[in-house]
Amino acid sequence: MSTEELLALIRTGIADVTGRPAPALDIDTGIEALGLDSLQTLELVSWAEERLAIRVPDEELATVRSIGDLTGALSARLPGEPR
Amino acid sequence: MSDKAEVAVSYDVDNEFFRLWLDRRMNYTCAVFDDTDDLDAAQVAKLDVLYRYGHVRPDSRVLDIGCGWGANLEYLAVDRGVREAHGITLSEAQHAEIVRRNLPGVTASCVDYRDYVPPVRFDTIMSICMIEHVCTPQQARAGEAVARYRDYFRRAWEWSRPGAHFALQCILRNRAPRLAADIREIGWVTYQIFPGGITPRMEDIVQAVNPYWEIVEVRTRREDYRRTCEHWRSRLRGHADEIRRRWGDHLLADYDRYLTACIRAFEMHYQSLAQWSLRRIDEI
Repeated sequence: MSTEELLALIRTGIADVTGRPAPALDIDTGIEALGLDSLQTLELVSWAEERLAIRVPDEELATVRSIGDLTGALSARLPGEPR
Repeated sequence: MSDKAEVAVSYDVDNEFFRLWLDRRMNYTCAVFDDTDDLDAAQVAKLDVLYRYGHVRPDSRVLDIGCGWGANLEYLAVDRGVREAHGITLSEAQHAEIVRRNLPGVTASCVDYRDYVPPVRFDTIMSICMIEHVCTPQQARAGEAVARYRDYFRRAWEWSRPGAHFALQCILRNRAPRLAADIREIGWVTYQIFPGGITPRMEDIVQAVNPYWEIVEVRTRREDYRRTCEHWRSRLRGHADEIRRRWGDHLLADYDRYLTACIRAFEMHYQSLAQWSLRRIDEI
């Protein structure tokens, strides 16, 4: 899955979690700048994990500060992706 | 650190409200059900464990950081004959209850632990489910948790004598929930019932005790805390009519929701509990 495809998926996830349309994203976008608190961030990760059939280790969840952190954590668990 | 107003939300509801559904001495922390299903006996069993973990003797000077309504102080003074026990709480209501109990050899300060200036050094430090107030959710998210906890362990080191022990009990943030409903309930408890606090992860504590304290023994008690919360909820519901009459429907509903969320959290491994026996590292 390309970074662009992951960003599109995450935008859908943000809209699902917050109930608002998600703004444009890039890997430098901060999670807090999107208005997501830590619980909504966890909801977003869970939402993405379910759709990608993967699980990010709990200790990595605490380090997710930006969209790039999130795409990195997700893509590292996708089959065929470099780790 | 939870501030005074946040602590008041958690503990200053009304002492008579908590007295209705906690055990006789008002322990508001996990009990130990190894040999009993009785809440009062299980709370004494918990204090027995921590007394042993803290290597307390009758002639010990003991400091209880986050002493609640004085359950452990009363146990030390009355059941164990400890001659000097001092408690710190930031809750005015809890402090008033300790003063009311008028326990022999027991003193208490209503103070933020960071502002506490001990008159003596202590042989044993005890702290039962207070460290959950040391770091805010925002600080944890910013990666400051270990530094906050290390500062707490440093202060305890400075307040204790060479050779001292530290009996610590704390809830642990364990497996992160993935179900949206569970995430929201835990968030509700975090922000509405215990604002300003967050439970530590075990690895945070393991890192933060260094270089001040050696971990001698640690025991988790997830199931015991689930059972404790079930007892509390059952007793809360058993007093439902009185609680509605005296404090209104909303308080009963909030506390039933909170205890139900806690039972679920312990069942699902979102939360656990640990009891730690720490020994002071005198040369740092």
